[in-house]
Amino acid sequence: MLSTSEKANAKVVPILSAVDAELESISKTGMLSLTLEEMKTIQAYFKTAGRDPLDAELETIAQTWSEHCFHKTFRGAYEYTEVALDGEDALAKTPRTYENLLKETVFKATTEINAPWCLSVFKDNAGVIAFDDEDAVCFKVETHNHPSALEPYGGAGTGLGGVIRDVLGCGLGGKPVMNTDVFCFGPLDTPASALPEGALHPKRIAKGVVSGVRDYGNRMGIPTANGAIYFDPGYVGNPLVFCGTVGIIPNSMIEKSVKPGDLVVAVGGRTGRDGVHGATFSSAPLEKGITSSVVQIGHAIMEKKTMDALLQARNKRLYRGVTDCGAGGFSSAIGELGKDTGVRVDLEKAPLKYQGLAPWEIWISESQERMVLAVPPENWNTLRTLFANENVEAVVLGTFTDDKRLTVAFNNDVVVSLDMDFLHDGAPKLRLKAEWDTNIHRKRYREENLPVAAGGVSREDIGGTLKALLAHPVIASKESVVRQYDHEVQGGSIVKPFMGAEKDGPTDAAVFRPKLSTWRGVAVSNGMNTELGKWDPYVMAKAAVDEAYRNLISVGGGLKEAAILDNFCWGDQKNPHDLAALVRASEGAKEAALAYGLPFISGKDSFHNTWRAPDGQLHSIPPTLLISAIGVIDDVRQCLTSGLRDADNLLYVVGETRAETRGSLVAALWKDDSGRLPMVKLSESKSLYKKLQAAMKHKFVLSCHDLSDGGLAVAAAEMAFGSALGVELEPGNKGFDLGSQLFNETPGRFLVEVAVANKEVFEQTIGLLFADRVGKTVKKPSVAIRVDGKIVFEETTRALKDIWKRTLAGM
Amino acid sequence: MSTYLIEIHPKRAEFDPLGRQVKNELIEAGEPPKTAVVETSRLFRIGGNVTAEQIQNVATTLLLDPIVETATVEDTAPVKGKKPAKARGGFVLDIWPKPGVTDPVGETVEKGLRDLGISGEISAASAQRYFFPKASSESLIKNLAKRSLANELIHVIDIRKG
Repeated sequence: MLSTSEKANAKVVPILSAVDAELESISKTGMLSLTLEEMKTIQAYFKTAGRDPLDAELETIAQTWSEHCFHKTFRGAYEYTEVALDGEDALAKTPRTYENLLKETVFKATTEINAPWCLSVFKDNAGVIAFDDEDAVCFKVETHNHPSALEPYGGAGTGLGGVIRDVLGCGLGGKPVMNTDVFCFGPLDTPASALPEGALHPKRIAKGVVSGVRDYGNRMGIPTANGAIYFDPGYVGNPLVFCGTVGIIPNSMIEKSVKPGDLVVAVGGRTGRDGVHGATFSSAPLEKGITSSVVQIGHAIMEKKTMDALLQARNKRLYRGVTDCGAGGFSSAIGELGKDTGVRVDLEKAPLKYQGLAPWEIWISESQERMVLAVPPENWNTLRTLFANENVEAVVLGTFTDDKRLTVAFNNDVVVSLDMDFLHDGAPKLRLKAEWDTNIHRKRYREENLPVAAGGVSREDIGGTLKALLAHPVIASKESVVRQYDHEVQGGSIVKPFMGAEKDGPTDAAVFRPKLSTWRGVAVSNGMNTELGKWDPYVMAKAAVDEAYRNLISVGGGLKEAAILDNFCWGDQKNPHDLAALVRASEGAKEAALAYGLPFISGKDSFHNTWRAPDGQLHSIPPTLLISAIGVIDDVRQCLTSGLRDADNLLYVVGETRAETRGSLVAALWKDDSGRLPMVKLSESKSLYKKLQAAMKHKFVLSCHDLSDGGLAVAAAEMAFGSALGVELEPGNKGFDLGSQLFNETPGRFLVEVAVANKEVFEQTIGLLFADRVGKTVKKPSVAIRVDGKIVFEETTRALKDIWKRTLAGM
Repeated sequence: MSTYLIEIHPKRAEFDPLGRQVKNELIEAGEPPKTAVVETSRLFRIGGNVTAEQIQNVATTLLLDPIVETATVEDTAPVKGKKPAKARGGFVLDIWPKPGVTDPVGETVEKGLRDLGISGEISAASAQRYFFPKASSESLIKNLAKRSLANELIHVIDIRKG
């Protein structure tokens, strides 16, 4: 039993008689990131216990209740109102209340879809969907934003290392088979004067992040085959780094368990002071004055060895449960595994990198490359030998109990004694006000905040606009980055990041075979649209789901079951407008997921993505939602790519092109926000996508590319880049200007190549209303645009490709 | 207990891609192209009950690629009457991880030492050295270090005359 007297290995924190200001001060000075209400809840718990907490206990609660581990903002209760709208859809029935926003939007979509292919959702370290009779695939995407802002190489590397461990810690352990990475940076030409004090330049951040992901992924022997890079001034002080991993796991190993009497075994790297307070650090704004302890540096070779040993132990069924040490370190990992049983840990048994760590530091350290296992005692010797043979340390830290308490000791001195129920279910619910005000949103993202992309091209200058879009960093070729990654290792790659005649044409999704014994494959894609989020996060979210899904569909192959993951990166969680933007995005994502029958299987949220500009003003990043999609492909041999196949074929836009330029890259380029915001017509699109998939199945479609950033003309040019051919576009008269027809980003569209012989059957399959013939493929390697039969623009494919490849060539 | 500093450097400039990369950054930082010369090397500080012979073995069998690199070993203990190394001019920049920051290369070297049969209390740390033989401005090197070669949050920056 604990007493309130001072202990040799822990300090008593006097909170029982503390007033509000003192409670807040304890939270702030201890970097606990606990709110006053949370501190009061803790105070009440310890009043009942009749003693003050020890430092390790407060740290444990802070880690478990942190935004990173507990998602307290997203799980909060909301009252949403609309103060001012200007063309955006009103969310029905406002004021609208939610008892738990996450549960009533994202989770709800999954529950209502109730897809039989979802085998494990939102309860483990990764989501799991069915693959074949023997195996399933698991997928997780995480963010590592603040660490990457401070130390890009270490932050991004450990971001990837962490998500790989999520897959290793899913069920009894998935074998990682593919990585995906999406980054959001400030423009690389940002002047130094525009940087917040102490912030690294976007160029340096980009270089470090790419190197970090490259070195970690390549050394792990996992292909990095999918990703994207966005640039926007809104990310200058707070870059976003999303890292994802797909794994394959036997169907019989999707569930884990823990039994009282099982040993708590830590395997992998040693524990140091690195990463102390990482989880609570992510629950605070990014400001200067950060200590080095929150930064983690990865050791990929250690993780590789740990992975190899772990998968052998899994196959021998030497452990019953496993999870990774991520945010909160042992405190979260062991606390989670022992949640339903109870656990006793003796911290002095943890192998340390160096001496001098206080028990609470060992307990919450986020040193990398560590996993925790629940091992039946009779298997311990075999497991220890197996890990020793792989040069990986494995030690027994304690035992799972049946008392539903978390007990942590150091040299028999108890430093933590908490009820599991209080630890995991005792946090007070946040009650939040969310007020959508268009005027605030416009002012923040369209007027005063930050300039949009460099302008200077007129709407009438078709050629100039196309070239400027191809050179736009968001659209420009990312080959200089992608080529640093090994996307071939493991030998399963089918649709690669670049393909075509010169192996440098872009593709829409990565397709790979996780098992080389079958032609069945997995496709992974993503959707994100920062520009739309600056107008309306509700539309942005629907468009992101739509884009991710269209990317999956584009690669054909008989797409079967598909699912999505959400990653919300948001600004100031105390600001009612930011919270309203979150509500709108959550509703948009839910609607799109329900309409397309795409269940969310896992997700993540990251708040406090704010930064202080040189003028002292606190800025929130643009609302950013990454939707990552995963689907099972029936036969990878039937997959399509975007490179053109032959001359004299027909080009069709599948889907409706509307006069909707607002929120597109071209609108920023033209400095013209006058157009309409795009509509995402979900039910119409759903039926259209089915028809397109039927056309693909019958081989009417020879190549396919989704229409997104830069619209039709950019997609056509990119299809030409993936071939030795050219295109002639003649979009016809749709009742609005040529520029909008060529460059707007109306969602729900594809550009497809169809042989003349299949013209009629293709048009019948799609329906004439949505099969819009916009041109043809030509032998001459050039991109030409015709109006009323006359060529108004023509440029060689080579020249356009050079423009497209030049912008980021030195990245 | 002894402490040794092992420096592994490329035999020729063409084997030093990092040097070429940093040269471009040095020019960007304001050094005239004529004097923008950069040589890089890897540093290892090894401490423990190790003999000079063992350290020489570590340098040549564990750390060195003999085709493209050479190694020099320095016993850091002060020796009476030892002449200081001849000044080479320019500036030397060493970037070490701060104490407590994970040093995966150092950890791996430590493991390698044990695999070579060296037991007892040993430690290994790794660093990157940049030598600017023709540079004349310490502040320019300092700015380059802070701007692109090191992160003061996790690194110790040590600049001195060459």
